[in-house]
Amino acid sequence: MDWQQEGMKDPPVVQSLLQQETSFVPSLAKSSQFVAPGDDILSQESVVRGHGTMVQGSRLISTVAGLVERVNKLVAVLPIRARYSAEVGDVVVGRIRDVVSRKWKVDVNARQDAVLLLSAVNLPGGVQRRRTYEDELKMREFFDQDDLISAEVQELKQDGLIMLHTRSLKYGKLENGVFIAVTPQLVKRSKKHFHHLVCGVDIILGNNGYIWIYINESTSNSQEMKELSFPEKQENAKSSLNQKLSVIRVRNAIHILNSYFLSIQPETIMYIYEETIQREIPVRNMLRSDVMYEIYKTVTNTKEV
Amino acid sequence: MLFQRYGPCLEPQSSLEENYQRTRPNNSLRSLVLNTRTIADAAGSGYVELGRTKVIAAVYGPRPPLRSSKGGVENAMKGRLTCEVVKSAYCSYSCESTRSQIGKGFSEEERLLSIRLVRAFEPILLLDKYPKCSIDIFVVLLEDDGSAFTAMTLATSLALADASIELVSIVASATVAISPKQEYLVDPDKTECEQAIALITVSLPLHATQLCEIYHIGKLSAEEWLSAVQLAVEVAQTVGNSMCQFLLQEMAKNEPSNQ
Amino acid sequence: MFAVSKAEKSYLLEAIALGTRVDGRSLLEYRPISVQVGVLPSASGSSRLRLGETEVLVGVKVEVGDVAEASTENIQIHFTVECSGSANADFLGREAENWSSELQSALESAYQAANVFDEDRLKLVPGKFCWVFNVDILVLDTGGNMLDAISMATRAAFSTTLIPRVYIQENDGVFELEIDDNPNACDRLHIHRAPTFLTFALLGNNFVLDPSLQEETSARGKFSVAVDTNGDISYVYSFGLLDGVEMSKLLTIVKKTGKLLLDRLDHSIENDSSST
Repeated sequence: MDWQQEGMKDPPVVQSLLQQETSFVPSLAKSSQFVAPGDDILSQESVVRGHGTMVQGSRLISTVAGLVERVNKLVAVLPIRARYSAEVGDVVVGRIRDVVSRKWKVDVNARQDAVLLLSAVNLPGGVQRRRTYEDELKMREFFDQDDLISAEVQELKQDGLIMLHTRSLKYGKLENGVFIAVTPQLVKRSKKHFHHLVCGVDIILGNNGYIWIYINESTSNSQEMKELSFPEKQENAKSSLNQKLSVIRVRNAIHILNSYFLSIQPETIMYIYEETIQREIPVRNMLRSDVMYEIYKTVTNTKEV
Repeated sequence: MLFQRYGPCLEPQSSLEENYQRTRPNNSLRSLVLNTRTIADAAGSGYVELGRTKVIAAVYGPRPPLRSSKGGVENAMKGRLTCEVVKSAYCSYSCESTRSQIGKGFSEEERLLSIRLVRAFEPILLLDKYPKCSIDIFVVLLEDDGSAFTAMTLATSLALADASIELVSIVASATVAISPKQEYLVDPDKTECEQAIALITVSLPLHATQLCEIYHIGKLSAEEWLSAVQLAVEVAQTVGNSMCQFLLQEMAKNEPSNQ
Repeated sequence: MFAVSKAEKSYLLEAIALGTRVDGRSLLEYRPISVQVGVLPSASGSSRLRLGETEVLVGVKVEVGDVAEASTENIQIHFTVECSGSANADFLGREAENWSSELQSALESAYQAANVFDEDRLKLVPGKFCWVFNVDILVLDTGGNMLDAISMATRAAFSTTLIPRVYIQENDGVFELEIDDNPNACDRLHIHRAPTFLTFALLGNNFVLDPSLQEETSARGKFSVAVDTNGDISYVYSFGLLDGVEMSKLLTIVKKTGKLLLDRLDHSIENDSSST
């Protein structure tokens, strides 16, 4: 059938000519040199060797498949696909894996489970006080196993342990939406990770490649209307169906970007979103491989011109 | 020929099958024997005889889990239900011992039966009421003369009731076989099961209009299948009602005022 | 284990109550299916099938085997399902064994009950020799609804399976089998009776066909039926509370969808085998 289209899932050849800010090419792919493990990295004398490199005799070789990055004297190789490596200040989306004494273990797509201490969350009501034993017993009421949360990387320990905090109103448990995991390298570090898209959908682009797509009840104008009469109720159901369909459209747009290794930013997501609406592709057909390929082709063509 | 007289091949199965004649009406059950508290050590236990099919079920728990599983039951807000089915070495008439692989753990069949029991009972048990607990069911199939899963479900149901574990309802079950002559045979024995062109087992909570397990093998049209299910449901309800009566009698017997 | 948070699950249920799924499909819609046949040169028949993220590889090997004197069977079909650890980290230890034995027994029962290949031309020597089909199924990737994917792939693999011609000679009660030397002297199997499974997940008060991993994890029950082109049923397994009325509704869906699915599967097998 359409097996041969399978190959398109591989990262397409990177077009390094692209310079626009809202490029579909992930930022890491903009530098030029690809290396495989064991390849020589050409460099002048006296470089500082960074991650993904190794000195063998007089040669500097790469230890991962990826792109060479040079910052002054530092030479490092950034892997194309890898688990998330955290930096302080990153916004992440994570899933609670376990609740242990006074801390949560959180899966953030990194090498180790991140840790969220009980003392690093805001207590309900926003009070600042010492955490008591009662709080410890109520930990599962804050975040239970399998719950999704948004958080910020507070600190990196020597052994790579990631400490998170949710000490801000924008962080916390994630509700009323869908989750999708993408290659972390496709999400660029930026000032803003909480976005309100034009279509009324909110997204949290976690630096770790976990993305939460949701409807923010407070910003969307569909305030909860109590005591609805029947036709209003129907109206309400209809609007909530439309809301859900836009959430799913955004989700599928991100899925397309991810499968073709394209940069995931609000602009690129919206581009695909608009494109599918223009072509009148219903949400349910968005993930068909022929449709996905069509969209991918138009996207890359328009951006190359 | 001495070994044949004393061995299990005394009456070769094949000759039995040829002359096989069902001795009871198609829609009647074999004699049903129910009992509880057969195992002193368990929190609850049940014993069921369906003709020559004999099953003991024992319930241990709710108790702290013995083996911690991946999910970490210690902290879970819901209880966990586990089940182990064991077929005794002498449960069928074949010469070879089913326990030829002793020490190798459970046979494939036993594992499948265990999974099926867990799935049938999971929606029936109020597991929310037993956080951080494990409820362990052990079922021994003493003798298998057809309709074994039905007997196992009934025994487990009795055992759970005996252990006073909170249930949505008693679970009843029935097996119906469709013979090569297109007859619907209720509660088939081993020979009937082997000859049947289709075999269907239905388990249901007695006080609801729903089914909690259906297992069917054999080629049927959709309409035939639905009517077979219908029949099985009716039979299961009769069996379930007699189970309820039995439990009430038992309680009356053990009432302190009567002692 | 695949994890689903309470919030995700309730969103999923809300969406399904409104008639759409979180990947955009309607409730009774399969994910895209792609199939390729004749992928293994060492097997008599083979296929590789992808259903959404689920991917399986099936090889059929044909051999002549001995049977017990009394038995009348011409065909034996043995299924083995291998869930390698490379496909899913959960496939280690006991969990994996349960998984594969459940799939194996479902397929075996369905094929046996449907009498798929009971034909006179496949007769060897009754009570002495019979054809043995060894169906080896390798799970390459797990994305939910393994049973349906495996059953479709098995049908596809059987459709390309070639049976060598065998000549039987009898000498004083001793049978000798001679296999035709000509590699082109082969017969195809008729697969019109081979069933396919349709699996529904029970989510809230609704049923969804072809559940994804997330839907399977959130489901409170499952309803699997093996159905052939005529709409005849050869295997049913259901757990989770299910209403009698809903069940008959499901069966009408099964009958219709099953035929459609099988027709489309056969069509794409034909396309693929003619293109290669």
